[in-house]
Amino acid sequence: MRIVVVEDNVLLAQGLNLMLTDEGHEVVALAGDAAEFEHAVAEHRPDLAVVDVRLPPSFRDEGLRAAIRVRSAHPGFPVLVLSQYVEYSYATELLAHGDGGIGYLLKDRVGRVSEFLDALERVAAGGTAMDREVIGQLVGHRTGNGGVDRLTSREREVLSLMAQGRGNTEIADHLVLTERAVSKHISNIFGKLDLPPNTTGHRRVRAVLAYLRQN
Amino acid sequence: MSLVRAVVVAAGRQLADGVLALGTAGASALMVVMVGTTPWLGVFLLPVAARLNRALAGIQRARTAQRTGRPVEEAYQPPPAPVPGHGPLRRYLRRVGHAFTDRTTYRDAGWVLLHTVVGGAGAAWTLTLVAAGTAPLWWWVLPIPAWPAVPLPLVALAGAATLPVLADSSARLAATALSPPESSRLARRVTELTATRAAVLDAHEAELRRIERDLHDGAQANLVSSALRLGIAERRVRDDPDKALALLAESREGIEHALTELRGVVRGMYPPVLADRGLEGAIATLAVDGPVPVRVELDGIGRQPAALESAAYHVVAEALTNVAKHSGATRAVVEARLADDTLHLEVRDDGRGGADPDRGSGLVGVRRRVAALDGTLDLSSPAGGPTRLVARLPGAERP
Repeated sequence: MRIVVVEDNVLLAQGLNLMLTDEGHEVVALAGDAAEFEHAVAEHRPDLAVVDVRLPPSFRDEGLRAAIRVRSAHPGFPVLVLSQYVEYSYATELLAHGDGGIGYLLKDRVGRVSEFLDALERVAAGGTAMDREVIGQLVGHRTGNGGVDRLTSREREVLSLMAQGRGNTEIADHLVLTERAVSKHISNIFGKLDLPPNTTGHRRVRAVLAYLRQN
Repeated sequence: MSLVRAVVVAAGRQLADGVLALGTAGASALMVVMVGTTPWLGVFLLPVAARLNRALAGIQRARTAQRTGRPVEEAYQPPPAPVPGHGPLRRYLRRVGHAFTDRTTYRDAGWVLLHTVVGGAGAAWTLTLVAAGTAPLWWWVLPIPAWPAVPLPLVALAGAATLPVLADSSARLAATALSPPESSRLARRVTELTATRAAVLDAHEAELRRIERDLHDGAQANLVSSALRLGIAERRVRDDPDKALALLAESREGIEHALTELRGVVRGMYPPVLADRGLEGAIATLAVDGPVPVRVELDGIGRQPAALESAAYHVVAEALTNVAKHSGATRAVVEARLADDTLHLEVRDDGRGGADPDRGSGLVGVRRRVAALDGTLDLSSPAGGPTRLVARLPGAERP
């Protein structure tokens, strides 16, 4: 894959560059701020961008806003946003703006290289990669969530993985289940939560997150 | 001799009071005439009169403080802030309104009337005594029989003994009349506390933001980067052990850096040495940390309340940081001593001076810390040096 890395911290930019190159990807540009990011995407037409949320000059959520801008200028452009904190509201903003692959992960996850690369592939293929911390803010920490309370613990695990954007095959691998069993769990979950059945990919994540948020 | 001096001083005061009374009499007469003849004009001139009264009262406050040895507090409301877009007339009308509503206006006016009477009487009595005492000297001018002139100086001498007592009483009276009532004093204290509390919260907020930034850019970034390198090493350990080894070493360095950063952050929050060894130990550590040799003179400070120790520590830390960074000094001195319940801190250097107290966030933050404890922080740094930073922190305890 041809990748743009947007990270102002030199140490991390180098680390990401090292890892991605090592894994056979091509880092076409290292950008240090939002303007460089937008410019690099326009110039190199990469397959994906890995973007830090906090960028100069104000070190708030420039990366996030730049990602949203880039995705509206280049519809469907896959972006994986990295942050040292993940917040549910940022996740919904990213999901709400535009289609195409989107990821939002804690920076800590880069250490688990193979999982990180999986997420990268998923986003590049138009899928979703939501950090489990974001989902954790919604599932489990809440009580009195009618629908979720009715789920079995296995179903709750499946729900979390779904909300992270994982496909059925991945969920099956992760939980050491057959795909058929996963499908069954999913239809149970959709039944119990009263969600529209047979939604997939992005829309499934959005539906699950919206449900979790509402209740 | 001292009695003679006291009498002379008191007489001087009484006469000065008389002069001031002439002023106040003039002012009150002016007001009465103004309001009496043309009320609307009087109303318009009220701010002017109020300011005149204020000036006269200010003089008397200073003189009273001199006599009684205790400062006489002022508690004027701040004048109304000009509203943008208001013309001169509306601005003036606002001032008129303010002069009407500020109760100190009435208090000053009351004092003006009182002083016209009391000060005038005191001065008249003094003048009488002077006249009586010196009667033989100019007696020949007056075509009156000479016999009363003989006992008069004696009577005047006896009367002169009353002057110091009178001067004291009139000073006490002025102090009472001119001091703000308890309610204004409290109101002002509340305003002060509100302001310092807001400043403390601001400082606290800024401090938290700084800590968050330090952690984010320092320890967290180093740890993430180390985790990343460990992750790569994990994947390469079989097919490329040399590379994995190099990555492991880099990760260890990253973690060590992160630990150093964390230590720095912890030290900035509440230095452990302060908790363990108190101010004396903490300041001694600060003194050996910097590039400029520092002489430390701590006079039996012992342990103090944590907030005080922390504020004092940050004063010294900030001062020594500035000495090292900006002063070009070759030596510095840190002095601390206790006087009653106040900790006096002084940091001075032999550098080039010219430090601006409002520049740089460090000193501003320290000033807020100090203000929160009702303390004061004074910086004197003339161009060419030397620079002296003096902090007074009340609330200290005897060791």
